[in-house]
Amino acid sequence: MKIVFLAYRDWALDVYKSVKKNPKITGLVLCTHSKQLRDVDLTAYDLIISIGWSDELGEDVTSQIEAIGVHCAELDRYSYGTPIQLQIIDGITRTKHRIFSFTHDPDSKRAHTHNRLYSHEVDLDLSGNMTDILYQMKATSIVLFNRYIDDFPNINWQEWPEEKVVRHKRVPIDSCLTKDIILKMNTKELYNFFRSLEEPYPNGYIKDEYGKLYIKKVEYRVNED
Amino acid sequence: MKTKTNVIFCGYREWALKIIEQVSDHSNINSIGVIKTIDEYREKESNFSEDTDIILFLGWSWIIPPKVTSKFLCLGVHPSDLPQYRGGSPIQNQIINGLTESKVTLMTLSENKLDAGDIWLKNKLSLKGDNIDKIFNHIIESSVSLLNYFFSQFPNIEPIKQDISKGTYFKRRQPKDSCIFLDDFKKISLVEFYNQVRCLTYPYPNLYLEDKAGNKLYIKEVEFISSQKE
Repeated sequence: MKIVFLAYRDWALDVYKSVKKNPKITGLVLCTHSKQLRDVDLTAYDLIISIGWSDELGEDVTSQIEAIGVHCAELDRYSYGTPIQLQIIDGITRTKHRIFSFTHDPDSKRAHTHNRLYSHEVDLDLSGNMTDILYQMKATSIVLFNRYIDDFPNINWQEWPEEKVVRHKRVPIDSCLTKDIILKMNTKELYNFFRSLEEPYPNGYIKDEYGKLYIKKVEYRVNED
Repeated sequence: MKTKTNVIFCGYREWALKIIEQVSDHSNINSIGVIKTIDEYREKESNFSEDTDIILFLGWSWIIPPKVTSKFLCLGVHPSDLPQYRGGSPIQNQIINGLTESKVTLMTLSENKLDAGDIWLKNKLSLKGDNIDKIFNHIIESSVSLLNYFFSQFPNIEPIKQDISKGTYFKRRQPKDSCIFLDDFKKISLVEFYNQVRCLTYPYPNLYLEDKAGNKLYIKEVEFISSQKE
């Protein structure tokens, strides 16, 4: 089985280093930027594995080769971008990490997941700080890609139900809280907001006329009384 | 003829040990002991060498008994511009009150009142920084400079009496003082909130917001970007 890996972030390269040891892989190439991908003869490979790759894969790619990635939500939900942040802010602590297949749809506003097919999934826990969540996602990505390779080519694709609810991708201004907004929130909502924006993401901040206070690390304790 | 000053250093906090490490090899002194715990101090308290000239306490949390202060010259470094901010939690109390510049003061440990002894020297201290580690670094830098100068002058240097009637005294802060009720958040400015958070970073009890249900959000790390020109 010959695979093209797409990865450039540190965690994604760690996943690549682990998955490439799968004994079913007989040939591989690693692309760390789009130009390298354009130079690959895709007809010589069986599969593209995209690990945290930000660029859309165009029709020129998806029409030639099966391409898969992982998404950290119970799709169809949170398929428009920033799924980790939106789920945490919405109070979700248990979700799924799923393998989906890339298709290209120029009219879709969704991020990557233009069709509704997934093959493998594992549970993902979104409680804790961002370090805990990313550590977990690295491990579950390795599990998911290895399972996919083990099962290939007998992949059982399943379709997830379509949802009309749209949660738009977060933009930088969404990371700002004013005093008035804070006073409408409780401590759990504040905790979820700030922990979803811990490093490596741009931190959440409180703004007034004197400046911006970036909240880099928080902890939450429930009243046991 | 004796040419060097015999000094015993007492300190247990990380920043205090860093100061001791940087001044204990001063060419004018003999470091005849470094005491790093209260148990070690109590064990040695009755047997300090008669040749001891100075016992220097850095960030020490326990009162020194008169039998020691009357027999030896006991000095301490206090991170405030004495007689202002005598007493407990001087760093926190100054920062929470909006001070960004202060002093470290070298004083004689008095027998009666806390931080009320004679003043030998002072040096500038910046209270700026997003966390207490940065403040500790300012204290280390300022104290090392102050002590090196002191040791270069001693014994040809005289202290001046402290007039505590012109100063202020604060009690040591308690963990419950780190609480801001969420409803009270509207009463404080962002800079006041920032000051409370940054002076209560680890190892101090972190500032926390408490809501009506009694749940607590601890703020552990922040960064402030001012929109005002310096």
